[in-house]
Amino acid sequence: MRSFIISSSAVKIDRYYDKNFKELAIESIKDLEKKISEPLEPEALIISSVAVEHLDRQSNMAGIIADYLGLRNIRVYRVESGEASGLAAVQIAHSLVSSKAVKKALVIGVDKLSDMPNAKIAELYSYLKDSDYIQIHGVSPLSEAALLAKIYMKTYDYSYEDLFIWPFTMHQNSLDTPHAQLRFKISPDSYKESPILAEPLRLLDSYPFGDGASALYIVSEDVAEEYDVNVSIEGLSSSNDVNDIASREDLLIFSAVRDSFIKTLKMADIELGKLKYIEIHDNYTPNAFIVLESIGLADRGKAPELLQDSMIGSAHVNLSGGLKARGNPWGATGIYQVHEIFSALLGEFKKSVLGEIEYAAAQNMSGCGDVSYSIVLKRVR
Amino acid sequence: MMFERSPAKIWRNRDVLYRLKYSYCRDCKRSFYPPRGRCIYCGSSNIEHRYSSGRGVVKEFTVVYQTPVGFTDMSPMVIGLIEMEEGFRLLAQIVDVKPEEISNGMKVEAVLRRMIVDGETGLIYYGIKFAPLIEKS
Amino acid sequence: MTKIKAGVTGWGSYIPPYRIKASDIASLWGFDPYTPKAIWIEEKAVAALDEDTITIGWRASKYALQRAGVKPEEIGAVFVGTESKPYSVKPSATVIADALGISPKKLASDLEFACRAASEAIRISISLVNTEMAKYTLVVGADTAQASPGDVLEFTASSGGVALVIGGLDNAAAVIEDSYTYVTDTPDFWRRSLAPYPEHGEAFTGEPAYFNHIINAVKGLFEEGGYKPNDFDYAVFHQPNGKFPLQVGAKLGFPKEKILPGLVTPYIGNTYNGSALMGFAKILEEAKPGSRILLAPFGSGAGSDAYAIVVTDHVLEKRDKAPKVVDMINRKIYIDYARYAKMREKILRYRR
Repeated sequence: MRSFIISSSAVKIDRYYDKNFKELAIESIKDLEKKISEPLEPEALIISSVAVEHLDRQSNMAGIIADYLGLRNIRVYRVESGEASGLAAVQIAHSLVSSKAVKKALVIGVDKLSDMPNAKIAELYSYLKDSDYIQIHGVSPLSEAALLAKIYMKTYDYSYEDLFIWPFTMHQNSLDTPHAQLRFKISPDSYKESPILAEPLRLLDSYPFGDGASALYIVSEDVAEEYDVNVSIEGLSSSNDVNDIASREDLLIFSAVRDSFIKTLKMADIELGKLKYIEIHDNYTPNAFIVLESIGLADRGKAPELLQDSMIGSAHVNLSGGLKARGNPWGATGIYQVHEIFSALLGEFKKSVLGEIEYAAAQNMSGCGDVSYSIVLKRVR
Repeated sequence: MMFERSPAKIWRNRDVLYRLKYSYCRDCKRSFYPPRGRCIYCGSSNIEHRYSSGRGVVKEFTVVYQTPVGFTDMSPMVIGLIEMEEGFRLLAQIVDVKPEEISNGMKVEAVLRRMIVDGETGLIYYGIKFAPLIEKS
Repeated sequence: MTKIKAGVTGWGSYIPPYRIKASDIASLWGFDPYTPKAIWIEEKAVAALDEDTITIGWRASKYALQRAGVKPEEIGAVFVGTESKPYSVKPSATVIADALGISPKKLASDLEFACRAASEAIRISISLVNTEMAKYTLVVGADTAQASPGDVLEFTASSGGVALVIGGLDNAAAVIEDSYTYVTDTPDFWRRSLAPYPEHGEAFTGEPAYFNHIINAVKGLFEEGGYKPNDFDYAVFHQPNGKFPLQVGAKLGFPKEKILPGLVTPYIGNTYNGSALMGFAKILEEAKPGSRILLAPFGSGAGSDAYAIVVTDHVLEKRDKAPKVVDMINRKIYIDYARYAKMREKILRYRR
C-alpha cells in the first residue's frame, strides 16, 4: 500500500529566540496549508522532536500543538528515535495512511537548539548514546565520528584536506537553498581557522546548532487524486546497529544505513541507479563518506575521490547543503530532507541542476548509524 | 537543590562501571561490552558474564574539546577506542598522559575514577577510565 | 611483649603523576625563597580533578591485592583511614570494596584520626586476624589533603595512598613482631565540620604533638619489647615535611642512613594517611629479607603507634607484582599553580 505526499514546507533554519516550540511548529505549516486546495484537517498529527522535554520541559508536545492548531478529536503522536526521528515520524504517518487507519496525516518536525548554550546541547546530543554504559564515559557521536575520521583516513590513505571536500561542497550547495541555516561559501583551506571540536574534526566538519521546523502532509491515494501532481512514498524502511561503535566488527560501514537502504530500494522495486537525487545524513564529514559507501554509491574508501560537483555516479547528493550547511535541527532534519526531495520531484527545488526527475531518496540516521531510516519518493504524474 | 541523577541507577550499574563486567558468548566465543542478555554477534542467549582484567591497548583515540556538560572539567578530554585482553572493545577516557604522548598500540590499565559529579549535593559516579601502565624507572 | 601473629601479606601504593614545585608555591604567596628548603620539601603530588580518596585508595588496594595473591572474597574487613572523605556521610570503604569485588560478608568503615587513622586500622586488623574474625583485612591510608591557599601547610599537603593486606604469618612479606600505642588529647591541628581547610597551631604541632607522641610510642615499644635502635635496619616516621622525621629519629638515636630510605615527603609531599606507610612500602620494595623496620605513624589530635616489623623471604616474590613507590615518585607531569588550583578546586566557579 502506498501513501502520498501532497504538500510540504519548511522554515529557514535559524536562531528563533522569539518563538517557542509550538510557534515554530505552527509557523512551519503556513506554506504547507497554502499549497493545498482544502482546509487542513488531518486525522493524525505526528510530532518529531529529539529534545523537547529537555529544552522546553514539555511532554505531550503533539497534544499541545494540536490544541494550538485548533485540531480536535484526532490521533496525536510524538515520535523520538534520536536524530532519525524525522523519518521515523514519516514512517508512522505512512503506516497509518497506508493501513487506512486515517486518510490524512500531518507530520511536523521541530527542535530548538538555540534555546540553550552549546555545552548543554553537546550534553543532549550525547543522550543519543546508552546512558548507563556509554554516555557515562563522556562519549558522544562527536567523539565517535572523530575516531571514525582517523580510522577512515588511515585505512584509505586520505589526508584531512582530502576529506574537507565535503564541507566545501555543502557550503556551495546551500547558497541557493532558501531554508538553509548557513548560506555562505567557504574556501578549501578555511578549516585552518576553524576550531577543533574533537581532533581531527573541526567546527566546519560538524553541523551548526539552530532552530528549525518542517512539515509534510501525507494522504491516501483517493485524497491525492484530487491533485495535479502526485508524489508517492514508494519505499520506506529502517534498520539498527549496536549503539556502541566500539563493538562493531566493521567500523567503516554503517550496516543500519546499508540494510535500510537495501530494504527501501526493494520495497520501491528500483535499482540504486534510478535515483538521481539523494539527501543523506552528514552530521560529521567522515559519516558522509561512510554513508555514501554504505548505500553503495561508492566502493569502500572511494567516496572522497568520486565526489565531483556534489555528484557520485549519476546521483546528486545533498543539494540542500546537507546537515553541514542546511542545518540539523535534530527532530526536524528528516522532515527537511523529505521536503527537499519532494520539492525537487515537483520541480520546485534545484530544478536547474536536476531538471525533471522521477525518483529521489533521503537517508536519516542517529549518531554514527546507530539507527537509520531511508525513503524513496516517486513522481507519479 | 535536589540531586538530579538517580541513586538507583548508580547502584544497579556498579558492577559494570566499577569492574568492567562484560558478556562472553559460549556459542560464538566472542566477548562484548556493555553486557547484554543476547550475543550481539550471533544472537545466542547462551551468555555468561565475566569481569575484565582491566588490561588493554589503545587502538585509536581523539582529543575532544567540545565536551558535554558534566565533562567540561576534563577538557580537552581524550576518548580512546580500547581493545581489552579479553577481546572486547570499548570507548572510554584516557587519563594521566599528555595527548601528544599517546600512541596506538599503547598499553593501558583500567583505573577507577570519578566519572561525573551530580552538582554540589548529589552523588559521585565512579567508573573505569584508562591510564598508561606505570613503568619501571 | 605482645603475642602478635599477623603480618603484611601484600602492599600497594599510588601517587598521582602531577607535581607542583614548592618554589612555585613560595613565589606565588611571597614566602622567603628559602622556606621550602627549611622544611625540606621540593615538590608535591597533586590529584587530578577526577581523583579522590576513593579512587586513590582503590588503585593502591588493587596493587596490594596483586602482591598479596589473595582473592578479593578472602578479605574480611576493609578500613579506609582518611581525613579527606569524598562524602561526609557515606563510607569510602564500601565503594572501594565493591569496586574490587570484595564480598558483602565483611566489615567496612572509614576511620578518622587525622594522619593516623590507617595506623589504627592496622592495629584493629591485627586483632581481627589474631582472633580469626577475619582471614585477611585491607587497610587503606589515602588522602587528597587540603590546605588553605597561602598557608605554610600548602607546601606539603598532597595526594596519595597506600594499602596493606594484613593476614596471618603464612605468606607474609613482613611479620609484625610488636606494637605500642600512645594517644592523648592534644589540639595541634583540626578542621571543623563545614570548614574547607584545616587550622593548626604552627610550632605547637611540633614538640607537644609530633615529637612527644612519636617519642613516647617508640620508647614504649622499646621498653615492652626490649628493643634498641641498633636492632632496627630502617626507621620510618610520619613525615609532615622532610625535616621532622630526621629530627625525631636523631632524638631516638637513629642515624640519617636508616631514615632516608623511607623518607618520601620531600619528593611527593605529605600524603597524610599515606605518609609513613608510603615510606614503609618503599622499604618493603628495597630491604633484604630479615631486615627489621621501625614504623611510627602519627596523627594530630594526637597519637602515634610504633611497630617492629621484620621482612621475610616472601617479600622477594611479591615486589615485582605491582608498580613500586620509586617508579611512581619518578613518574611526573609538572603543573603550574594555575593548573594546581584548578585540579584541587581552589577556583571559585560554577560547576558544569
